Amino acid sequence: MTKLFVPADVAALALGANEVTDVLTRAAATRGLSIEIVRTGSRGMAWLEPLIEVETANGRVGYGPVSAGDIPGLLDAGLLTGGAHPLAIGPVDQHPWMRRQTRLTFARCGVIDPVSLDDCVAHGVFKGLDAALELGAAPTIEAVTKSGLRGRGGAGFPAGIKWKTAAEAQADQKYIVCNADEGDSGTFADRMIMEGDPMALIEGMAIAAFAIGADKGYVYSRSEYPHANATFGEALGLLLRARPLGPHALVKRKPFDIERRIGAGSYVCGEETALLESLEGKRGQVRAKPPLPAHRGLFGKPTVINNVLTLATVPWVLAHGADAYAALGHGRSRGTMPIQLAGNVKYPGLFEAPFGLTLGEIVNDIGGGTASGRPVRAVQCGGPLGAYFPPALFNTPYDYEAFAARDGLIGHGGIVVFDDTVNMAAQARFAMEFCAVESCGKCTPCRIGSVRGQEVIDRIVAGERREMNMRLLEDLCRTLKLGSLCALGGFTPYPVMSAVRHFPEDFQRAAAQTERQEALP
Amino acid sequence: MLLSDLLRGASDGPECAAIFFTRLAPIHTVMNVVPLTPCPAAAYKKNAPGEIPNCCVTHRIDDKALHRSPMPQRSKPHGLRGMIAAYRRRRLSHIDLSPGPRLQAEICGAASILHERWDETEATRIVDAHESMQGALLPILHAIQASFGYIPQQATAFLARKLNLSRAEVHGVISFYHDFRRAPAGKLVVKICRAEACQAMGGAGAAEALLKHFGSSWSGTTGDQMVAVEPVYCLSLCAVAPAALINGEPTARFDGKRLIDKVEAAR
Ligand SMILES: Cc1cc2nc3c(=O)[nH]c(=O)nc-3n(C[C@H](O)[C@H](O)[C@H](O)COP(=O)(O)O)c2cc1C
Ligand code: SF4
Ligand code: FES
Repeated sequence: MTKLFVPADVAALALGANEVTDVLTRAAATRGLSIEIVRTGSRGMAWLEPLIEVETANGRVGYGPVSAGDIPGLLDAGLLTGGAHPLAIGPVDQHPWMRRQTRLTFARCGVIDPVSLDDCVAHGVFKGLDAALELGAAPTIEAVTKSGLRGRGGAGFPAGIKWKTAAEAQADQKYIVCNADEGDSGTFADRMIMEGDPMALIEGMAIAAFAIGADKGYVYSRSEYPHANATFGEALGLLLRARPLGPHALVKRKPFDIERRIGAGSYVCGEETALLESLEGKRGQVRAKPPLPAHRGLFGKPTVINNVLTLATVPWVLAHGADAYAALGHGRSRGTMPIQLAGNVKYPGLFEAPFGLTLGEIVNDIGGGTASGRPVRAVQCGGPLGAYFPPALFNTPYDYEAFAARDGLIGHGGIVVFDDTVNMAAQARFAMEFCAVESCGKCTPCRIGSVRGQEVIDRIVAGERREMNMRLLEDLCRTLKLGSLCALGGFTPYPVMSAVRHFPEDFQRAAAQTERQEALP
Repeated sequence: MLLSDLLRGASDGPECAAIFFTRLAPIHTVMNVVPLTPCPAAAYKKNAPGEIPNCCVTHRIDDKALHRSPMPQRSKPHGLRGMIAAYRRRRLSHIDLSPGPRLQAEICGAASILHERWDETEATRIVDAHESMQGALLPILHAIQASFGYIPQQATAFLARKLNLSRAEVHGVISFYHDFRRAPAGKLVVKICRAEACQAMGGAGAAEALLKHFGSSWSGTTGDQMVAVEPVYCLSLCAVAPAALINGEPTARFDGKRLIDKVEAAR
């Protein structure tokens, strides 16, 4: 029997992975071939999806991108023995794109069957939890602090310090909340973990629960992720059924239960305090801090809230030691970052590497430039609230502090590439529009300023009193930055002002065009 | 009918059931089980005596398709449990494990909506099923939308009464979240991503072409109430942009024409 692997990752499904599986199963049956198809997560090479892998004596050999029509030809070419074919990419682990990476958080993603407990355990799931249980709660927190692991949700706050605060809080009940409300455009790493290695997340939550003394965890996911939610739910169910490992026994004798909740299409619910409000069944409005969630969080109890990637990295840190993790990285950004390359890029996908690559290396060397073949004009880093970088800033090292020094942010690790057809004035307007659509409504600059911002940009583009409106826009951005409770209003100026600063010609060009038109009889 | 009745054998006809359960707590809160058309899945009783299936299946969508298509050898359908596993592997998008099986409405389109009109018994059942859940308003609203296809107007006062909240609070929550519809949706819901990665790959042009094709607008339905085009901001398919969900089925890397073809094919 030959083992084949086909991703059930939603990006692969969108490109026909289920049809490929169907056709392959049928074709194998007709030809009397004995095969077993394992549905995995994705390896992250999105341009090769659907990527079929075959288990051979030389390791797992890949073929992609495969469409249903390619199957007969592939079987003729000896797919099951790793035969030569134009779609063959050779052993997947040896692919240059994979070899350049340091996969810690994503080591198992795309490799294992995410809903087979045996497979997961064989690949090292629960080693981190075992290590934590052996260490004890306080040393576990210490290890996380020492590793230098910072929150991957956007703010980059040291995970160990957050845990320590919650561990020291006195309460009858504490909570672990996993922020799986991955709303940033251009990001998909959380989803890939939930679809490709959900056990890592569950294990990370169990370690966090053990460390701070929580007995209940919530995973707050998005309604836009039905597939990820299903896979994650199934993984949770598996643990429950496999008794000694069930969530109730994950942490020795101390029950730990995980409940999954689904959001309802609100971006701002990704902000931690809005998320807590939403979990409590309320409008997703941001709370003022203090009190910190680690002191008074969900239902008023001490709560640690961490991103999926933060929690899914914790097991590696404990299994391999804090020093091994801290040894990687650049400056104060330790360890690896799952970089998500998206938009108009030749080789889009997930690339995990230690901090410190330059933006240019990521976009041009790893990403291969644009998909359209035109020159790169701008890249937006860190989601809809992140700044647009021109190629002139491509020497910026990928590191929290280095990006902040250039008025940008790493955020959740998304990088969206645009070619030279992009109109940056339109992108700036979109940032304001997005802020208006998603504002929770608590602060006036965010709720109303974002609408006014769109109007001001419209006037600039129309060439209406450009100078004055430009100053007005800058002033508005300053007000947004200073007068907003959370980063939705506070960071919207990043994409807007970076577009103004680095691409002023787009605001002028548009204006010049309109003026010329007006001058016509 | 409740799942517990079903398991106890209150219904012994060869029925296929849509089972919605909440989560992995020791007590599975069952929201509703809808007896459907005859289907071999009744065999599940033999395979899992007294056990609660750990999943939620909206089975009636196309159990025929399930039986028609060949199974990978490893996961031959074996009772309901096996079918669920097989189903899940193959057609993930038809399965949801959420407390509120929003996919009823979302993924299956209006065809699967169980109650066309406001039905207080059904709503009571939904609320009761969430009794043990803390802060359950969102899961309850998801379940109501799944059941009715939208949040009927009567739900506000009803939920306020049941949950001991003010009507303003309930209305505030319903109106805050983009997902909750206050009118029935079209039979086919097309969610198109409007965020940056999709913009970079021509998503806006494709969306405009689709809207023009149907003479519709964002968040509006077509004249025949068939197709609703809704904006979303990122579907996490940014690496294969542009992206859309057509009744929950992901589709990506399209231009205007291919998107129109796909939507027409789904219609
Ligand atoms: C508007 C807004 C949206 C956010 N969205 C997310 C999100 O989708 N996922 C996430 O993990 N963090 C998000 N955050 C950051 C969270 O507030 C919080 O910092 C994070 O969940 C903490 O986890 P970490 O320390 O592991 O990063 C968002 C913040 C803001 C202001
Ligand atoms: S900045 Fe905007 S989203 Fe954030 S709290 Fe204020 S109004 Fe709400
Ligand atoms: S930006 Fe469109 S799917 Fe992410």
